[in-house]
Parts: sequence; structure tokens; C-alpha cells
Amino acid sequence: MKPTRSQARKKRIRWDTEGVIVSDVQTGYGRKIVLRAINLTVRIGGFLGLLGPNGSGKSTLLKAIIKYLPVSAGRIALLGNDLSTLTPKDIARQVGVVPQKLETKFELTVRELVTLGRYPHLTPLSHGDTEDGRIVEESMAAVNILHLSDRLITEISGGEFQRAIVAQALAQTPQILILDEPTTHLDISHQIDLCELLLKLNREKGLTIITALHDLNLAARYCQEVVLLKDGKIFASGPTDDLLSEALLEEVYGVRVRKERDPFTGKPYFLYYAQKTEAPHQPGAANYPQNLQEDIEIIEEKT
Amino acid sequence: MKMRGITVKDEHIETGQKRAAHKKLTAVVLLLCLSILIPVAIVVGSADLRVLEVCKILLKSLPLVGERFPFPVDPFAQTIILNLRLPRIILSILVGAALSVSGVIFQAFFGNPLAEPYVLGTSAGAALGVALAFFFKFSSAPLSAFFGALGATVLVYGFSRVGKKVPITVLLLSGIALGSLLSAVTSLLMLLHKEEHLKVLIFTMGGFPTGDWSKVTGILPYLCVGAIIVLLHLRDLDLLLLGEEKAHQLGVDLPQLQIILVFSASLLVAAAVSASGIIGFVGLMVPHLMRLIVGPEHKSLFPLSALAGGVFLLAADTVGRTVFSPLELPVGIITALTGAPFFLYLLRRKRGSGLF
Repeated sequence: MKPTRSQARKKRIRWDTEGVIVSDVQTGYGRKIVLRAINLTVRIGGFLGLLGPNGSGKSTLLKAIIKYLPVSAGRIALLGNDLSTLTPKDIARQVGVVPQKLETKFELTVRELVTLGRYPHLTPLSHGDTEDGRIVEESMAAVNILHLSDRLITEISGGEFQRAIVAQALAQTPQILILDEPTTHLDISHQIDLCELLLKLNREKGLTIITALHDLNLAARYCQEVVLLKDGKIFASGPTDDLLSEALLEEVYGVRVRKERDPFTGKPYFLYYAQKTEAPHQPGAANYPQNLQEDIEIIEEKT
Repeated sequence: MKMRGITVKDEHIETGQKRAAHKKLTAVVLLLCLSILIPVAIVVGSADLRVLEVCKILLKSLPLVGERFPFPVDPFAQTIILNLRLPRIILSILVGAALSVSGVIFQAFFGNPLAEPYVLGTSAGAALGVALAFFFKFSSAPLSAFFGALGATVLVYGFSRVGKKVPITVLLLSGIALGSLLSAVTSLLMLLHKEEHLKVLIFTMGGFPTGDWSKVTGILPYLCVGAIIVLLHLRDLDLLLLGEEKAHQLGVDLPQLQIILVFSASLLVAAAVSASGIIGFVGLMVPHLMRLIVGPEHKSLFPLSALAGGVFLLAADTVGRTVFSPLELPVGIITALTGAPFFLYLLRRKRGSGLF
């Protein structure tokens, strides 16, 4: 049931060419271990979704990747460099992070906020040159908040603030962008906008993207690959469309799932039902247990 | 914003530009205040000196050219001005700047605009250091004050840290509790030492009754080292405003920065307290007002807060020693009279907007 783990053991890991490599990592908060034996690889230019129920360790894993949490066993590499040899500044030059929520009581303007993204590239006494200014402008333009640049961050909407945080991360000129459930506090239009932006950055600028997501449909639509976490372990991982089957999602989330296909995008989407509920008015619903059995067999064949 | 309507919104579109203009204006206004306040503070006081006499003394005491002025001066008045008022003026400016700036540091450090050396108990720690130096005949009061301030800050931080967060209620409560504990010990020590009661009182209330040049030169190294260290980390302070996690994500080495900031803030508080005792609320009011005018970016907030703190404490001290002349009010009473209501106002106002 854990393809990644066996893959990592069989395949010789090439530390120097991948975007992010997590190898047999164990981490947590203080003595409380949250994640065990985590193996995953994100290639440069990849778009990885991190899925799993609440408390499965998605945020914890992201924190370990940027060295905010210490790793008690195993090894992490960023763009060919061992994480333990990198300073926070080194990491911030390569990795931008968009947290789920950011709270501040201080009234910076949007421009001031985004400019702070240049921090890892500046020395204590320099105040940034025109090049830094240009990058800040470009970052704000990329997320379409240039018109807000002189507004206070406490006075713009949640969606605008989220975009400002993305702009700040872009101002770091990172090669990897890490997002922790970035759509949680956004309405559907902002969710789609953000995901389209990520897709654009991924395709046009080759930005490697790792994002924790709750919304399976967004993951199915945008991520090339997904990793499913459950109880602090990797439950399954692989290309999005192949991996996300009804049976697997049922096993991870404990709800009944129907997988359908979006006629416009051709991507899969999911419908969820309570475990004991009969899915109403669905022609295939009666055969559900049989489908489920097939899916399980398919997965077992794969592993 | 939504509640206040569209007019306010329009006003804030220009916040960025307005701040840029305000920075220069504020600096000019503050310098102007200082250049008016200093002469006033030299002239006024319990010893009635005339302006002309003061001018003569000042001219006479200029280095190199001073001796050439033909007119005679009153040596008594000369002593008052050169050895009492002038050092006191300079001391109050330096102490005001140090307190205000350490407030700026603590506010960024704890991510909360209510943090301040007096409220956190850091000042009380420094005061205990001074008292211990006194008691054990240790020569350097500022050094002892530094260790006291450092100890108190580390204790309060350790007490109030829950996991990776410092809840502001816990921080304030433990700061106030530790502060009063340390102050009690300080008072006890000073009374045991059979010092004059008035001196103890003035020290715990905060004031400059014994301002002299040796105090100025004694605290100057601490101020300079503390200020220079912070000046090199102004942008790090900006990042701390976004919370520790975001600061880390943007490349701040948190453990290292925290040590540096506690160290430099302790230097500044030690300098202030060893010169003037415990003066509260300067580090609360001044940075808050400056932040309203120029915003929270430390590149401007830091120097302007220092300047404004100096102006404020000089004004407070001048008022304190003239209104009930010849009786002197400790300057700490004046800052508490203005600062404590201000603190309550902030507490009240911010509660609605999710400060806690």
C-alpha cells in the first residue's frame, strides 16, 4: 500500500537533480512525533498536491521541508542541497511559503509587505536597489494587486491579502513555492484565481509547486501528482488521475466517494456521501460495492 | 474599514505616499521641538536665572573661544547650568530615547504593541541590578543593571511562552507580577541599606535628581552598543511583525535574532534605569504614536521613536521640576499619569479588533 516507500528503496535517489527529496523522515513537535518514515520526491517543475484528513500531518511535513521543524530521523534535500547544511536565509532564497493564515496587528502597506520578500537577498545595511524594486513590482503585478500597493494590509479583503502574501513569496524569486491549504479562507472565485495563477507560474516560469489541499476537486484539476497522508504516514502517492480512486479515498477519508469526469476539462471530480447513505438518483449507485471491489483489486495489482 | 465607509477608504489609498511625506515632516517637527525645549529647560528651574545670564554662561563655557569673552559670570549660576541642568537635560533625552526604542524592540519581539520594558518587568530587573550593585559595592551599576534586565526578560519570556506562541495576556500578567516582585526586593534592599527614603522613592518612581556628567558617560557605551546592534537588524524587526513562522519562512534565523534582540534591549533598558530609575510607559506611548504617523517599518520608526522619546522625556522632566518648584516631581509620576490611561485605552480599543 505504500508505493513511494518501496520505490525509494529500490530506486537509487539522485540527490542533486530533484526539487525536493524527503527520505525516511521522522518529525514532530518536541517529543510528540507526528510523521514517520516519510519518503517523497518532487521533481523540478513539478506540481504536487498534499492530501489527507485533518491532523494527518500535511502542515507538519511542509514545516519540516523548510526547516521550521527539526527532523529527528532521515534526510531532506532542497535542489540538491542537504537541508541540514542550509541556513534559514539560504532556504528562503529558494523556497517561498504561503501559509494558510497570517495574522498581524501591524499596519504595513501592501508594498511594504511584499518588499519584505526581498529580505533573504539583502545584507543588513543595504536597502535594496532598483532591481529589487522591479522584482517587487513584478510580483505584485503577477497576482494583480499593483493597484493596492499603497493600501494598508489591514484594510484589504481576505482574498487580496492572500494574493499579497503570494506576491511576497514571489518576491523571494524562489524556485519552489510551498502553500499550506491556500484556498481554505477564500471564496470559489478566489480559489480558482489562485489555482490558475499557480498553474501559470508552474507552466510559464517552471516554478516547482507543493501545496497542501483539502479540496479534492481542486487537487484533481490542478496537481500533476498527489501524495495522500494518513495518520502521519504516506498512504499512497502517484499521478493524480490514476491514484485518486473511489476506493482509495474511501479508505483514507472514511466517506463514500464517487469519481466522475468533468466534460469540459476532462479531469476527474468527486462527489462525497456519508458512509451509510445510499447515493440517491445515481444509476451506478446500485453497483457501487462492485466498483469498489474492482478498484481495490486494481490498487493491489499496482502495489 | 467597511464600517467607516467609503470616504475613509479613499483616504487610505494614499497611505503609502502619505507615510513617505509624514516621515520627513515628523523628523523636522521633532528636531524643532528639541531645539526649543533644550534652551527652555536650561533657563527654567528652581534657581531663578535670567536669560541673559544663561547666555553669558553658555558663551563663556564654549571650548577654545569661551575664555575670550570679557564679561564676568556668576560661578554659582555657572555650576547650576553646566553641572546640574545641562547633564540632566542630556540624560533625560538619552533615557527617553533608550526607553522608547526598547519599547519598539519588545513590541516587534513579542509581536504585540502592548509590550514595553516597564510592563514586562525588564525595568524592574534592571533596577534590582542597580540595587544589588549598590548593596555589594559593585562599581558598575549599568553592568549590574544589564544582567538584571536580561534575567528578567528571559524569565518573563520563559514563563509566558506556550508552545511556539506567547499569549499576550499571559505575557502581561507575568510581566507585571515579576515586575512587582523585583521592585519589592529592590525597595527592601535599598531600605536595608539605610539610604534616604526620598532617594529610594525617587529611584522607584523614576527621575533625575542626581543627574551629572559621570552618569552620562557611564551609560553612553551601553546605549551606543545597544543602538548599533539594533540598527543592523531593523529589517529583521520588520519581519517579526509578521509572526515568528513567517519570519522564518522569509529567512530570519529566529534563535539567533531573539538572543540579539533581548541582549540589545537589555543594554538599552539597563542604561536608562541605572541613570534614572524606573520610568514607565515611555516605550508604550511614543512608539505607538510614531507608528500611527509613519507606519510600522522600523527603518523610520526606530530613529523617529528615539527622537520623540528624547523630546517627550525632556519635556516631562522639565515640567516635573518646574510646576511645583522648588518641589520636584519624579518624571516617572508624569509618564505614569499620561501613560497608564493610554495603556488602558489601548487595551480597551484593541480588544474589539482581535488583539487577543
